[in-house]
Amino acid sequence: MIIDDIKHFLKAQIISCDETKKGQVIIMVAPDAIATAIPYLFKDKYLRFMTITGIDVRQYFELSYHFSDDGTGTIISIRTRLTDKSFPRIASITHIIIGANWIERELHEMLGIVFEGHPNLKHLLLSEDWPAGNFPLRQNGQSDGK
Amino acid sequence: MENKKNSFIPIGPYHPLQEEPEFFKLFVEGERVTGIEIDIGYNHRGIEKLSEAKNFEQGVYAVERICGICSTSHPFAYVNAIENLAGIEIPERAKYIRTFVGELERLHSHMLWLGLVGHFAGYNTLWMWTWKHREPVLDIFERISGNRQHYSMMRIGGARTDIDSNDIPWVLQQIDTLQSALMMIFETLANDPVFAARTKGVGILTKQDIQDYGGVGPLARASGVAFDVRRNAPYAAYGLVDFDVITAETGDIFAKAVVRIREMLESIRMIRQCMEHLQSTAGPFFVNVKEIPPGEGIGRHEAPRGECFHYIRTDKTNRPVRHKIRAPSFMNVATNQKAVIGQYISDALLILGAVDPCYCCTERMIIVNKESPDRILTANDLLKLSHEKTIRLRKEGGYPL
Repeated sequence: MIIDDIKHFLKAQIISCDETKKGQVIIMVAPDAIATAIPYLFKDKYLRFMTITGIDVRQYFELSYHFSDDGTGTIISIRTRLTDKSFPRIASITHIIIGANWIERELHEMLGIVFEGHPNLKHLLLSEDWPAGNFPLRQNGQSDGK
Repeated sequence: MENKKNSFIPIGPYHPLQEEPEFFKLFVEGERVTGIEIDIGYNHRGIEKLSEAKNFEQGVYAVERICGICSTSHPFAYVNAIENLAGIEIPERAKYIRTFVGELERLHSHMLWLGLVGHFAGYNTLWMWTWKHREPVLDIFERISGNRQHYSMMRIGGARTDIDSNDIPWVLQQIDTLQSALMMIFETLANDPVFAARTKGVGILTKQDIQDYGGVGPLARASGVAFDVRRNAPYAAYGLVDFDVITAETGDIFAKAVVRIREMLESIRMIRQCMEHLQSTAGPFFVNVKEIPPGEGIGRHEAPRGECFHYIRTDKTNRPVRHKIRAPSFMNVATNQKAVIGQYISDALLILGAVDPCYCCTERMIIVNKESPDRILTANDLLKLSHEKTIRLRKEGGYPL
């Protein structure tokens, strides 16, 4: 039901919706749809924010915003692709979900993704004097790629 | 002592007793905490990156090294993720073995926490007693797995070793002793007016706070959020055994203690059911897994501190291309930003500890003031503040010291 509501709410913003996986629904949207999708899931549907995963897939960065529908045990992942690898950026969701503050900082330092509008986008886990432009979880480029 | 608004108290980051170094900067006005800055990352070892270089079999043991206290939580979530990805069904016996190990771990982890809370509240007897009764749990681990910690009981497709049915009567005997000890501790704590005065109404987190920060585990359940992975998304034998999800409404330290103690009694219930099943039913305890297909999988486990989340993406190789780990404390530690504000410094230790990163062990405490020279207090001084409060409350209430 929640999935249908989300589909109905996001309508044409949904690029694809994968419901074949056990216990997980993956909804692919464009980066600018995050700003409307996340408040809907969190504030209107009361889904629990779990975390964000970021992956460097060489051609693009992929971000998945994982929410848990605790009533059914299903994980709803809102997924988007950042194709501009030279300057990956997306709207921050920290003003909507306080709990996203740290994970956005972690993704920023590990993958170099800029979360626009984040109140405090400094290092979380790495030292402040970590060399600029060196992102440990990138697959190539600035890090050693191993 | 003018200009108190400029005072802040750094706590951390290193102390030999801590299993998780963190740095808290408490901003204080007089005795009240007005702000907090949390700095983590002192223990960052790059396990996510390391895991990309380990094959799936090695990965199970690599992630076990993330935490020394809840050392089976990460492998548990890891194997759940791989099995979710590859669609592997594990044998029933393996399910019960996994549940048994998971619940034993909850027992020893919660007891460790309870002992520390006792220590920091000035109840050293509680500390000694709880840790004394925690030892048999570690003995059980040693008997069944060979290790007191890092039991390595998980493997993809089942359990690493079987439970010897000759050990089961002995395990049950240990569990019986533990249960009566827990009941005694529970009754003593629940009826102790000074413990109640130290913990009731202190460090409150509301349901809304839990939702905002994404808090999980006993911390969330103490605030009335009835979420438990074991119940809401059953895995291993959690859908096959009988247990209750314990919740409380008040969200203070007292509620967190009550939730954890009652959870231990539920763990004991589950362990008995697992033992009964393992005693009466034979069968294989693992399936052979040859290949992990390309894809992605999510594994969750209700660790003692809450939902442990593993995300794994694979290609055709024998290693993950991305392995994301989100430990429960990552969400829970951030709730301190809410819980500690407006509280007394003498309660701050308890509040920071009630989250159960076991962070109470402070290395040093410096009160920085522009007017006066720096004052450096040791961990013992901070403990003394907490102990003095308990003694004062005892005197005021006319209770024996």
